[in-house]
Amino acid sequence: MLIVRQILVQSDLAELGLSPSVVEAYVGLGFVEPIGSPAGFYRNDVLRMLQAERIRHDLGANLIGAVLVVELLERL
Amino acid sequence: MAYQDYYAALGVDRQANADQIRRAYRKLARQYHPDVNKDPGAEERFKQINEAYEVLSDPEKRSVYDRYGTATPPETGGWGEVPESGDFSEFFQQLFGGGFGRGRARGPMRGGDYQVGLSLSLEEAYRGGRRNLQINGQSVSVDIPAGARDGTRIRVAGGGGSGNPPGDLVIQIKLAPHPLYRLEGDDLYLEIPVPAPIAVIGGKVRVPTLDGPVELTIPPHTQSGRTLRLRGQGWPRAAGRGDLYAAVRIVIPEQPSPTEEELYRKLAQVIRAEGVS
Repeated sequence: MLIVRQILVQSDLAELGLSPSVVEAYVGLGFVEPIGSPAGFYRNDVLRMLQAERIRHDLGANLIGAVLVVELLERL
Repeated sequence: MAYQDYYAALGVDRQANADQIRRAYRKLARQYHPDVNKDPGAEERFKQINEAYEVLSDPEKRSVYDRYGTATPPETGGWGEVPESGDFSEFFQQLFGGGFGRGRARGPMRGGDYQVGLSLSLEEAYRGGRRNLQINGQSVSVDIPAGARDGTRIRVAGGGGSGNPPGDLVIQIKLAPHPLYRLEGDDLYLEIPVPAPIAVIGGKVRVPTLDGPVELTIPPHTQSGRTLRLRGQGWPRAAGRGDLYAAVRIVIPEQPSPTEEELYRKLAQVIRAEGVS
């Protein structure tokens, strides 16, 4: 499975259902940090984006709300 | 004012671009927003983050900050306090070395601009109004706009050095520190003493505002340091007014009456019985 790799690139993210525009929005909020060029993401950040996406879709939160939930859960 | 490292506050380096600064700000704002972070110090940190972002997100303010280490540029030489009466020729000669030849151009020589600082209390600046200043032995009437701020400049055309045309008089407003209020942006901050019993059970206290005292309801169980907002009681701005923030400081009687002493004694017994202290 893709997610076992340490750094994932855009094509990997697309396969996981993370579109470029969604990823860009998460970067814009300072939720995840792209690394290198072309941009890749650490596995942990990808998992966080996937978690936020689940909260967004399953619970009807908007993007910033989902980000906030993930960050708060991490602090608990 | 002490130097504040805005870059460190946002955790970015000095070369960070606007995107990086915005991202860092959003991330930290979520982390330290007083509604999501109850740690002591989170609120203070949140304020610092906002202050840093306000400066670093504005290219102009950022470049001033990079150069001077503060978002307000140092005043260019020649500003002085102007008392409201007296002879000013000496004062101006000190400022301009006796010559008013600036702004020289082809043809007739334009008079130099006079630049003076005028110190106002917050109340005076808030109300505005007409002031008579004695400049070089002449009385000059100046309209201070209501809500003038620190650094506001008022230009009186023709009020400067003689010439053709005469120069202007430029008055720069300085706001004197106020014993009660602190003005930050559009908002005023002040501390209000609240008697301990009122803080526990709630009640009303009088709060001074620029328009006179108002009654503020203290909700029950108000801890010391809690900030209550009086919307629209701050400084005038383009649309409406800023807010007044009243920080609660809980006070106990300095000289309690025998009754008060007795009631506090009972309270202390209750606390002791419950093993709180």
